[in-house]
Amino acid sequence: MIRLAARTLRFRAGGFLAAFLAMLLGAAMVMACGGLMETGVRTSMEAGRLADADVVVTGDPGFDVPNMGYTAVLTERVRVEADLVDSIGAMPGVAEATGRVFDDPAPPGTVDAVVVVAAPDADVDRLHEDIEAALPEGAVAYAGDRRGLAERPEALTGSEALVSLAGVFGAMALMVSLFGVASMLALSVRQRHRELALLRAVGGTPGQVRSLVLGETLILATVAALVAVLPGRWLGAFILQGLIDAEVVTEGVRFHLGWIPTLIAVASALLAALGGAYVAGRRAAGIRPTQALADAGLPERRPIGVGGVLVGVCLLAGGTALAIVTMTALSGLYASATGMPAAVVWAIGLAAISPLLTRPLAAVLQWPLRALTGQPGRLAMLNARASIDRTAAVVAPVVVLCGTATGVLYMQSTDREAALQAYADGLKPDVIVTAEQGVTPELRERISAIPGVSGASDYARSAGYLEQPPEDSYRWDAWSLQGVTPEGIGAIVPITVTHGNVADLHGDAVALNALEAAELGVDVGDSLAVRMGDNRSRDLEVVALFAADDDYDTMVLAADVLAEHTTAGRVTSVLVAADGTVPVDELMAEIANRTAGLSGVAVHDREALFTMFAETQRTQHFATYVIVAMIVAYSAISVVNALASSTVARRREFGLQRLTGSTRAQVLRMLTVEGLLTALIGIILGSLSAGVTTVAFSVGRADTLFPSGSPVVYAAVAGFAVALSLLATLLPGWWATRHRPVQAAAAM
Amino acid sequence: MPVLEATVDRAAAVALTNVSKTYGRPRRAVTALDAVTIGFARGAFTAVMGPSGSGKSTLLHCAAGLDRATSGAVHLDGQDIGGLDEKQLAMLRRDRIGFIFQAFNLLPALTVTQNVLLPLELAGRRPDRGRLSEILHRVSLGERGRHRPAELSGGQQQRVAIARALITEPAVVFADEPTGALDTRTARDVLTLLRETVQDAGQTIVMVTHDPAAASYADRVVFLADGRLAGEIREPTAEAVAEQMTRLGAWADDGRGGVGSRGRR
Repeated sequence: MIRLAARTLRFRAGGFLAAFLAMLLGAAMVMACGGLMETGVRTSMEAGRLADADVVVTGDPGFDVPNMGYTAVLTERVRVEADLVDSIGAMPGVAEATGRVFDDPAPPGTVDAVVVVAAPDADVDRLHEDIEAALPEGAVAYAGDRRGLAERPEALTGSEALVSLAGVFGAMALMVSLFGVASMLALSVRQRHRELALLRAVGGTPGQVRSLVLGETLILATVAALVAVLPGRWLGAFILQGLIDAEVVTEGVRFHLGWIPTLIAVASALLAALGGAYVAGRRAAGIRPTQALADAGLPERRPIGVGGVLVGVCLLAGGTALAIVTMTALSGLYASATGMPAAVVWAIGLAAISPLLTRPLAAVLQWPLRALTGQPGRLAMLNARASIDRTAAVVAPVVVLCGTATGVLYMQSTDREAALQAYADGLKPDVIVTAEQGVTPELRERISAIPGVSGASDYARSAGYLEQPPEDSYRWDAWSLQGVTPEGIGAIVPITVTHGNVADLHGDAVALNALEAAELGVDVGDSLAVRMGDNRSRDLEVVALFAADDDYDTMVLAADVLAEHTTAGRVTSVLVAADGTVPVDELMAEIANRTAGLSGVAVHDREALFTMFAETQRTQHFATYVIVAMIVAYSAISVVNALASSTVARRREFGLQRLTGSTRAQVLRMLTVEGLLTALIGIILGSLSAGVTTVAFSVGRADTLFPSGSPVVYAAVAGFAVALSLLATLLPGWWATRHRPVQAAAAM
Repeated sequence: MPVLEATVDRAAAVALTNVSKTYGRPRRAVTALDAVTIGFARGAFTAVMGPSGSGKSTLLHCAAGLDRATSGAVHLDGQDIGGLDEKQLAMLRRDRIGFIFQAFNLLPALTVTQNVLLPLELAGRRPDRGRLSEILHRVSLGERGRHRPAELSGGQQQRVAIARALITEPAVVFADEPTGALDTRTARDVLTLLRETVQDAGQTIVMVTHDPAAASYADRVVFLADGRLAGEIREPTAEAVAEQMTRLGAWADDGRGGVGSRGRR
């Protein structure tokens, strides 16, 4: 059958274009994800300032989370003892070992890295191994293209994000690819049903017809996967650059796509395509041989089957379950994890049963459309309603397009709004003062003394892990650590202390959420062991408990204590709360005035803090855009494919219409109205799907029925759907009517 | 049903015994074939005629294993095909049966040669080059082996279909309105070709048609009306066939009876 498949493909290359594009897109996406994953795993970097080193030794940023079997990457620079410089320098094969401190001053007795230059005759790989073996606990040695990690350990955090992102993208790409390929192949099978029936009539077994479809797909998918290697590489590098621009991935990380991920990507793209072909092949194998004898070439009426309704209802039920989980989940923070899949599943489910909904919607829409469009509109309505299945086939991808794109984009804006709101609620400063050299008590006091200031607090942030008491194993995420000055805390962080006293927040002290404390079984006076961001452990005594939401997993520490464990090693900002007696801009001017003599001091308004915060959120946003772009691309191919092929198949009908007196312009006008109707039905159903899931998301995430976001997004999605439908009808319509009507009517 | 079986000629290439075919749900069933018992003799050219809706196409579908009879038995070359599954039926069709349809007989992607060899290829059998060129020659397409269907006229396409039907040396060739889409002159050529394969090679042919002129090429014409046998004519002439059709009410209002005829050879 593979020979027959090859001949068919060669003959109807154009008919397989859509399926090919779908496979190409899927394969390129999978390839890109493979590359991103390898990039994340290898984290090879430009050596930067360490280009002269053969081996670099630095602190190990990995922390084995207790009970998890999982190594977390810490957020701050992990330094090594300065003694290491001498002990490494004394090792055989080392020409020179020097301690290096990068940007921020290292605490006494430590260095950021030990730069090792190998002796001229030494084998660098061997030396690397020897040094690694000789290193004490908590230090690592990098060589080759990982040397840059010593300067920018944060690249490892980015790599972690990259690996999980690539995994999620890859899985979605494969899923969408499977459905995309299945639907394109199903259309190509439908278009050729007489041919396949003929094959059955002259002795092709159902199995042979199935293997014909599989064979075609195998050839097509192999070519697509091979062609996808280069675009996949570009796409991967492009996404990496996007992530670097969004500061998710550290500048200097190099894109890597080796042959193993390439092979795996090719294999999984092939498997996804074959999975799609299996679905389409089953349908092809079910074609009755007598269909070859049917006298006309008209597509058979294919009302939606029981199976289709069942699949649609199951998907809708699944999507609703996801939406309910989203709505009622304990923590709003995880709403995206179920909300976005809910939007996709609902849209696909609604698309599956859209043949049932298209007819009533067309009946309702006919009145306004007729009134607006006159005669061509009447004919278009008759056509659309007479061949409701054809209309429904085009409506389905529009539903998926609108439902997912609108749903996912509005969930994202709702999420961003909610996160900003939570951040704003959690932090009440009106002015932020930054000091590059570090905040001195004197600076803070000077600010506190200004009239109109109700409080001023140092502010530092980091992240860490709880070592004692042991936690339940569900926590993968780090605790957020906030450093404040106890005297000013009341004006800065809106917490209500329930036990203990925040004024005691000096030295090795910590305050935490009363709910979390209850879960951990600790109370005021108990001690916690916390692994700080620089991989040093610190025992902290609980001095206060406060009331907050259960997902406020923040420990509040003294700012100077926390700063010791950060890369900067010092506190660089002061948060200032106003008492309302002086307008904020006047207050800012006064602070600027009083601190004018100090170098490196700058005064910002509240927005600056949010801007900084919003930037840290870009990871997810960029990921969302890529996913939406992919879904849009697949739906666009489906819409164009379905519309264009059905329009071209109607050549004869257009010819007859023109023979009976329609002008070409009238035919095209009629097609315009049909395209509009199709787009409108799709948009209505898509909006229904997006509406249901987005409201559920909004309730779960932000406790409000109204999702946030700009109406421009909706207008853009709807406009895109309309433009796509019209383009995909009118272009082939124009092409199909280019001949004289007599020829067209006689064709076929 | 021993009594009925006895009435069927078991030596026939195709034998239908008490075959009924109904479509649709039990309550609103439409009976297309109503207990038809008929045999098609080996080496004979039989035409099946009847007005639209008389069940003649259904008869062909059931006899050829394209469709399953609701009840009754179909024997093809002595084999009961009632118990065969889809795969076995497909294999039976490619080995024992040739098909010629009214139109859309050929796969547009394949050349003439590839179309003719399709049943052999589906069976995984190696084509006999000599036999291929002999058959192409017989249908006067010796020079056109590399052409695609789109490059051929309607008559030429039907001749390719005949070549494909004959390539496996089938027990029976079923033709469904093989001249329905052709002009009179081309139709005559195609029918003559079919007639010759019966006469020269002893091929069994069963042809469904509504054209008395086409039917007159057969050795025997059987008539169907409302799913039942309605008489037969041996050694038919177009006039006799047309007369019988008129009697069956086939052309009550469109006066298509007056089709050109031919003299018996």
